Amino acid sequence: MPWIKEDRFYLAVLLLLVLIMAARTPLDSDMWWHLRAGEETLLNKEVYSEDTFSFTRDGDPWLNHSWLSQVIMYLLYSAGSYKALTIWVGVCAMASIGLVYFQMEGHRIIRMMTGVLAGIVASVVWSPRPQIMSLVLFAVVSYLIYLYKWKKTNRLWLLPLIFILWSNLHGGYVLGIILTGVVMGGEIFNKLQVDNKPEYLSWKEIRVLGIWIMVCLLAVLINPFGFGMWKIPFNTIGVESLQNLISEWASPDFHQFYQQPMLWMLFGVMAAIGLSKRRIDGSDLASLIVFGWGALIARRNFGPFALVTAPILTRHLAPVLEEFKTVIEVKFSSVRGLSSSISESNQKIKPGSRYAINFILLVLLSVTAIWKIYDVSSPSFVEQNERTEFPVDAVEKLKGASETGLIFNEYNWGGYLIWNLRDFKIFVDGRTDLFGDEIIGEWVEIINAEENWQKKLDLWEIDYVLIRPDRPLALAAAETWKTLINSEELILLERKE
Amino acid sequence: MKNQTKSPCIAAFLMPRIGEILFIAIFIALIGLGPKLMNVDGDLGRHITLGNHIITSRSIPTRDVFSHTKLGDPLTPHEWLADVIFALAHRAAGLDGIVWVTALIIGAAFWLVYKQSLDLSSMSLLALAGTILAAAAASLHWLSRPHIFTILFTVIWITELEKLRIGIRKNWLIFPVIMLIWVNTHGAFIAGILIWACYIAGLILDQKFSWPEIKTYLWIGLSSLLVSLINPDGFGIWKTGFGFLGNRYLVSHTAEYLPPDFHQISTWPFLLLIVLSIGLLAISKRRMNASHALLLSGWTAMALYSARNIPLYAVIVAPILVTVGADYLQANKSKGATDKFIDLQSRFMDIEKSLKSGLWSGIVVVAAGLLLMRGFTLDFQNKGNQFLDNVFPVQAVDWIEENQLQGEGFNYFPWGGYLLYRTWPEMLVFIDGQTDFYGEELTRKYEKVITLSPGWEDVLQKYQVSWVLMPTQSELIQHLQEIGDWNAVYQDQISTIMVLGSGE
Repeated sequence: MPWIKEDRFYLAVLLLLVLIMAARTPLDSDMWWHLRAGEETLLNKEVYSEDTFSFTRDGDPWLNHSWLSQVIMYLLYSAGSYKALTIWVGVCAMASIGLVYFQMEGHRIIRMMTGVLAGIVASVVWSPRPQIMSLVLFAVVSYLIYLYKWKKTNRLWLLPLIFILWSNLHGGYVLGIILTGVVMGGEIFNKLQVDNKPEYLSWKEIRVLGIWIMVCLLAVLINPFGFGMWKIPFNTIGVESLQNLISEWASPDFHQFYQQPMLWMLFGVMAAIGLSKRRIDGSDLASLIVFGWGALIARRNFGPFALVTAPILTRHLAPVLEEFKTVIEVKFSSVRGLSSSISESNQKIKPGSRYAINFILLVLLSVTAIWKIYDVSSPSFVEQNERTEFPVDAVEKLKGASETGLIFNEYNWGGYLIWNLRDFKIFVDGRTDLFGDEIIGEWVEIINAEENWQKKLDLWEIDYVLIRPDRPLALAAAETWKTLINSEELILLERKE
Repeated sequence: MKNQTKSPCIAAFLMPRIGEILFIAIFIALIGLGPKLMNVDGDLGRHITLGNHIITSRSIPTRDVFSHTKLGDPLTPHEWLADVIFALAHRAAGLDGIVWVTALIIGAAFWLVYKQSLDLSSMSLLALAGTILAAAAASLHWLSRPHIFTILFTVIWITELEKLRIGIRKNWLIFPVIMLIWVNTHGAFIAGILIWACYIAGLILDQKFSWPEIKTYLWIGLSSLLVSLINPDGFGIWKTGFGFLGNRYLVSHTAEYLPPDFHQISTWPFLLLIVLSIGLLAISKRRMNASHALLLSGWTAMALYSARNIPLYAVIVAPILVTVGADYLQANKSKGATDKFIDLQSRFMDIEKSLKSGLWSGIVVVAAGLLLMRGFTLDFQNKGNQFLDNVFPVQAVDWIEENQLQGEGFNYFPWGGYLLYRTWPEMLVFIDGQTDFYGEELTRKYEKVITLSPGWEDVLQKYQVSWVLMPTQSELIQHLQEIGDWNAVYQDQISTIMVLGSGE
């Protein structure tokens, strides 16, 4: 069984570990409206691009840049419910980290461990949303550039095809353009250096890369919204509420343990570059600065940062560890003795036994991964989590109380209500680019019970208020609105006749 | 002939060096920003009050004397020496004195950063640029608080360690002396131990295993650790420090311990320093020494973890980056622009070496002190160094003093220090900014009350609170105004005093 030896074994272990990490209950506040939009697209055989879910933007055009991902998500959900979505996220995570593994250098154990670290950093964005498709395609683009630069294999003709697909899957295509541009900038920097290393691109190769960027920018236009797709990055960044209200757009909070691996990675790469005798390549430098900056501005950029940084880390960590190992062995003869005895005892193990051990380990990891996928996506487990994160009781109550109505809702519950209360309309959901500062600003004023909150609810003719009980509005509206549910998780109020 | 030799001598004493110009610029900037230094944070009042208490009673309190919630509980006065310095400055010149001391300490710290950068790089222009960037990054935490002493001690500490590393300093005896003062001035003396750890680890990574060198570093560590126990609370100072840092709730509820928010423009110089670090590491032709690599990467991580560490990061990293930058320029001096810069730089250095001055710094510092003592307002907005009435409940406390409000109170946490400054010892606070002393339990109770969480009334009852001083727009005041038991006896746009019952 040669496939379970050497490099491929470590890659398989890495991918299985990533799958185990990525297998989570597929519950994300945005997942639901993506599913519903996908469903609408399939039902109407037309890309869903006019809002019908909210009453604040009802009938307004919406540039639905993730329409193809939504269709895929809905088809997966229809075919295999939560399980299919869990597997989809896992496969995307494996694909992105797997492509990074091929770009790393050094001993396979270092590559595998760095891959695991990259996975932990990127895991912040592993959720059932179109964003995960951007992560995969980002890894694909970075791999093609890696082949072009480090292996001198030109597969850049694939880029336009990838960008056509990307601009229909998610608006994050701009990350791929940035990466390609950054590498180009880094290579120009390399050309300005005195030395000329084999991995540096020639001026001709840099020009070719530039031409492909232009072609990719044109390829992006092949989507239902045409030129509108170029505006997406600016539309999104222009919404101030994104930065103020949505945690994934905020700077990282390293007091949260799950965000700390990004800090470890940054520390690791800086220490490795500092300690390494190898000087950093221009492309690596530019990528590290640009994507590191992006990750420090908004934690949703952890994914691209991890994918870009992992190969750079190994390029510098490998020589540092090698040098350190040599020094230790020279200085301390006992360590050298230990090292050689380990090596000898390794050689004594018969190849057959080694394959068997590897095979058993892979089977154990595979079983764990399958078990976790089944466990986290089982209906009972999903329902249990759904109850803690979403207003399940309120949805049941509203379904029984009325056939339709307008709901002033908690921001993160918008998608869930869209999916579960088909005939109700909501105030706001995760489509920040649709609602903009105007609606989100008004939502903030109402939920904080600022001046004229009641008047605003009256103007919109809102029938129900469904929010968390710790919101100032919950206290302010308690007397003037009829309370239908008041629990630790939510408060549901109905307008008094 | 005589004139020719005399003339440069006078000029040498009259012309300030670049470092001196930098010190004066930072000092004047801080004097001009005086009101901002004391109004961003509410703890200054507590520090002055504690310092005054130490001077008056000639003893350092190890039990709480400021709050009615924890009165008599064991207290670690880890900033007592800084508090005494603040109190002395306050006695001499009021709040102007505090601003003067703050400006002097921070100005001195960045002058030392410049000097260290210059010593390591021999490039004054580069050292100046690096120090200005470091000062810009650190400025987001320039406040009149004891942590400014830690900024100064960090620079002194690392300067001495650098001297040891490059062989200028031969013995280690200065280190325990620095640590002794540091540990009694501010709780972040632990930074010194971390920096020391980077140096010794760097020594090992750089394969310098020579026993005498290792021994020197071990003596520094051991003596500093032992000396750190010479403080009013002995080992308790370590326990308090780690106890606080290990408490996720308290750390996440203390604004300065939160990570930097890069959407705020004030953090951009720090971001620029990180980008510059990576860039310089990249272009440097030589491998960085391991101590510097560990300091650079480690303190980057620490500053990203907590914005409070950014000033320390800035003063540690700036000289390292300047050194790397200077090495790069030297290695590329054959290139046109680089060559011109090095030429310009060497001419500057020649002028610098001929100058003897130190005069202007002294004149500016003394003049500023005298002017402030004479009552001149030197701040840029001409407000004078005072607690601002749009930040602190100035009029409300006037009312409290006039009406001699009795009983135990519940106060807004950031105003605790100001209340102590104005009303102690007649009045005790519910809580103030000394979070490490009040601990998680009381802070949670405070949070319960201000968020009106279930049981908030029980907290007020338990501590027999008969009056509340909170921001007028706060949820608590809004709610107390709606229920019948509480009456507003004083209200302005900033603060409201509510009294239980009729308030008669």
